[in-house]
Amino acid sequence: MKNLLMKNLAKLSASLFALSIIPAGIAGALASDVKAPPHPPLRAGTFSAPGNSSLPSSQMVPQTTIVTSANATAAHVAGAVKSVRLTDYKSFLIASRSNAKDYTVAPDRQVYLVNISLPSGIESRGGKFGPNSEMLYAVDAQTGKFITSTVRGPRVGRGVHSR
Amino acid sequence: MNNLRFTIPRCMVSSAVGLIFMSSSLSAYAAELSPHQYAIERAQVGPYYGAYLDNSLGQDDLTQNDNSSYNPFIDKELWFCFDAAGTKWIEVGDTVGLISGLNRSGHFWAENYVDSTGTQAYRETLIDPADPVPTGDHNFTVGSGASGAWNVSVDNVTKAVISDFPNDTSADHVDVGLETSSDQTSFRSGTISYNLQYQDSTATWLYLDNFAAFNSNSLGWVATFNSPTNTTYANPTVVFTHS
Repeated sequence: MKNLLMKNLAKLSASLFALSIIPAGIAGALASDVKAPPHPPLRAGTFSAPGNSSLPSSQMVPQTTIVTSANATAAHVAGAVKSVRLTDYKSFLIASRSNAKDYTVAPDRQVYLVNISLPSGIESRGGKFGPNSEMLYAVDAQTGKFITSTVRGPRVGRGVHSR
Repeated sequence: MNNLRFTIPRCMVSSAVGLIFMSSSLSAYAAELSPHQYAIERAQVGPYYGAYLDNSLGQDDLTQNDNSSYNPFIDKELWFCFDAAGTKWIEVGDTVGLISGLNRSGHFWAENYVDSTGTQAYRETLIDPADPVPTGDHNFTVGSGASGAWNVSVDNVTKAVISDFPNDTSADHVDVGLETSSDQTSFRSGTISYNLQYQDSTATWLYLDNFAAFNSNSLGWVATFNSPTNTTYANPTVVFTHS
C-alpha cells in the first residue's frame, strides 16, 4: 500500500513537472520555430502598363508639361535639369544601371526620361546622398503618371537601417 | 456709442489679423524632415531567406496633406536588409505621397544597391502605376528567386525580379514600420502590419518573433510588436500608434 502510494506520488510529481515546463516549451517554439501556413505558389505578373511603341508622339503628354515639372523638381532640390527626352522604359533601366526586371511596365513602354544633376546632394526617399549626385526618373509618356526614380552618388552617414 | 462703434472694427481687425497669422503659420508649418522619421520594429536574429507581411488598409490608413514640399510621403512597409551596416536592402509596401505635384501613391518596391560602376544608388518604383490607387488589405513578399535574384510580390503575384544583390543569399535583419519625410503626414492610430513571417534556409515559412523597437521620430509615433503568445493577436503583429 505504501509502495503504491509512493508510486502515485511519483507519477503526480512527474506530471506536475511536465506541466510546468510545457508553457516554456511552447514559448520557446513560438520564438522562432512555428510554421506559418504554406504560401500559394507565386504567379508571374503581367504588364499593367503595356508596350505602346507604335503610338505616335502626338498621342503622348506634351514634352513641355514634363519639362515644367522637371524644373519644379530641380528647383526644390537645388539641382539642374540636364535633359528631358522621350524614350522607352528599357532606356531608363540602362541609364539607372538597375538590374531589376519589372513585371508591371513593359520595356517598350514610352516614357519621358528626366535627368537632374544634384551638385549639393539630396535627401532622397532612400536617405542622404552627397554632392555631385544625380537623379533619373521616368514618367509614363501616355498617362503622365510617375513610374520610377533612381538617385546615384556618394552616400552620407549611416541610415536608419544600420544596426 | 462712439466707443462701441470704435471697438467693433478693432475686434474685427484683430480677428482678421489673427486669421491671417494662423493661416500663414499653418502654411509655414509644413516642413520636409531630414533625416526622415521612423517608427520601426526590427527582427534581427537572422539569417532570413525571405520575408512576408500583410498590411491592413495600407493606403486607407495613411494620409498626407503637404502640397508644398518636394517629396512628401508616408510609407508603411517592410525592409529586407542584407547587411548589418544597412547599406543594401530591398523594401516593399504602401506609400502615399507626391513628387513635384505628381501622384506617387500606391504599392511600391525599392532597392538600395551598388551599381555596376561601384556607385551607390537608390531606386524606387511604383507597382502597377497605370492602375487606380489600391485600397484594403494586401500582402507583400521578398523571396529568393532563380540565379541569385530576389522576387518582390504583391498578393502572391511577382511584380519585380531584382538581380542587384548577387552575393547576398539572405538578410541580416527585417524592419517593419512607418517612414515619413513631412510633418504633414499621419496615419490612423492602431493601424497594423500582421502575419509577419520569414523563410528559413529550407524555404519553409515561419512566424517572425524577437523584435526590437526603433522609434526614431519626433512625432510621437510608436511601433509595438505583439506576439501571439501573450496578446490577443492571432499571429505576429506590429501596431502603430500616435498621441
